[in-house]
Amino acid sequence: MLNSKYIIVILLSFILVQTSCTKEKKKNEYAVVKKGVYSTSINKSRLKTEAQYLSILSTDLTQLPISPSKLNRAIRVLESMGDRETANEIIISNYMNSPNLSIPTNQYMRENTEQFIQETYNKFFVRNPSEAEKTFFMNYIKSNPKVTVEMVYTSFASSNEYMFY
Amino acid sequence: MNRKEFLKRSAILGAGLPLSAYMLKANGMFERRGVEKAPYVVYVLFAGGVRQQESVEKQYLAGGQGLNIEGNIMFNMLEGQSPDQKVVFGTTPSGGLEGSQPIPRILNQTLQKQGTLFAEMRAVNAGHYGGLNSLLTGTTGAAQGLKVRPNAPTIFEYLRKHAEFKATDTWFIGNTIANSTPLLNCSEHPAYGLEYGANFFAPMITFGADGIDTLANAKVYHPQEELEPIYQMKQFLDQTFKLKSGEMPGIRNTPEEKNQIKEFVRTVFQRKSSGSIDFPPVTSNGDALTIGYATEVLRYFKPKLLVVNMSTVDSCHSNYTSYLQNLHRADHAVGFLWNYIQTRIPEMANNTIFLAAPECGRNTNPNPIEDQNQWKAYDHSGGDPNALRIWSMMAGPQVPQNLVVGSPGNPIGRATDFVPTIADIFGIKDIVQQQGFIDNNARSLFDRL
Repeated sequence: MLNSKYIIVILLSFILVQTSCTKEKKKNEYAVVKKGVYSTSINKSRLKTEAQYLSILSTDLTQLPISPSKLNRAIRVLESMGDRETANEIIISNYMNSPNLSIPTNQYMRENTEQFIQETYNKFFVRNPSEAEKTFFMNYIKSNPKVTVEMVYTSFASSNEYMFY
Repeated sequence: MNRKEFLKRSAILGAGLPLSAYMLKANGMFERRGVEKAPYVVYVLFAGGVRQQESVEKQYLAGGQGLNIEGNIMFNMLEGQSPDQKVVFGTTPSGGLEGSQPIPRILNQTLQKQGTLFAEMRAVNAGHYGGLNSLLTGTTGAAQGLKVRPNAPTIFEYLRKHAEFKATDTWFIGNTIANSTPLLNCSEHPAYGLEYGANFFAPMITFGADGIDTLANAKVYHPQEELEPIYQMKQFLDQTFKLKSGEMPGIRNTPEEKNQIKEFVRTVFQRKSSGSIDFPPVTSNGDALTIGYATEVLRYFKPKLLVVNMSTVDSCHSNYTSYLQNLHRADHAVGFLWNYIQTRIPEMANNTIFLAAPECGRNTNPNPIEDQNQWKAYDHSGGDPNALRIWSMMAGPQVPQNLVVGSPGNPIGRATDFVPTIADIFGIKDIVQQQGFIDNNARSLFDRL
């Protein structure tokens, strides 16, 4: 008698589980949303935090995200130096010696100067260069054969505009 | 010139003179500096809350633990015999008791003999931040909180603005980046601020594991061939942005100074890896290491003012034995620092005035925490008069030698005196006092003698 009661309960439970409603599965769709770049530098009014600056710098120079521990160490170093601008410049040049450095070759810059300038503005300032800016760098790179990609990148990464977003 | 024209020109001249004087004064050009007492000052913020009993009063365990054992554990700064019982403040000899070997004295003659000891002064605040604030700004404001720059100008800013010191003439060396330490190199005052701030390093971070990971591999670019084009391009980029070159808030190091700092950073990493940095013989705490790096700054930049902060004696909150050990090591580090200046930096030897003072004292009565020797710990609390008792040491050119001033019944000097004292040494005491920010009762220690 007792056994048949158990069997009925189990059967009922089984039927209930099988026939109950289920949560509708939501399909996640991932895609890259195209985002417009800044048209000018005017809208950049917020100073990047140390973490933002260092994270973006790492990505721009190595194409790799900075690890949380490395980011934490770099933030501490920035706090340990009074002259933030000088500290930034040392950190940038430290990246320039990094085995993970990923920047265009000097040959690419010389052979595709206009494109290089466009890409560099897009990368660092998230905007297109104005005609005046393009002209300046075209002339500067052409008239200074010793200028390297490293120098151009260092000037962008240490510029005031790069500190803002 | 006829009479009418003469009167007209006189009237214009008469109106113009006061206006010119006002403009010159507003630009700081009318300020007259006094005579400089010495070209260099080294100022030690010593070292996290020190009781008179264990320092200038040399009571050792008699003052704090009720044991009848007295003696001096600050051999380099103070005159007096070391305790001969229950020695725990030194190093540990192999097979010996912990701390039983006192660290040998570095200086042939104590700083007390070489200069003036203000044996009983008054702090204006029993806390670290208010205390450090008073030592660096000469104010009594107790509102200094964590992670906040001082409201009133610091001595660095006075010197940079009114004595026209360049940025690398003034250095603040911190033993940590915790709390307010990295923010004490300048105030938030609108007429002063970061633009007039001192350069700052917390060398245990800058040159420690964090710095090795972040800075040690940095290049130092050639000034003409590499840096010049970089700065030319940067200047162009800044010109097209709303904040032009030099308009970003920051310490105004010139390009040459910035390059010097980069070269210094590279040199220190090199010297560190080759074991060439001169640290005090005993470096068992962060203060001693910080002093070692401070000597590197002195050696390289020869700054007019270097302030170094130590704080390890604050372990007294929970461990009295550790407090004694750190007090002994702070004295050791100071002895090393003064000896280094006199023997290794010819420009600064016999040309440097040394100042040291704790930012506050500690309480009369202990808290209940006992250490490994069953000795009780001491806090520093507002309302306890013992926590406002401090001392100061001064040595160098124009400082009377072998002089002790002040006593418990006749305290002489205040924690706010150091800003007018340093201003006095560099000939801008009157200018600093005229700005109206420092404590009305603050005096140059030279005027207290």
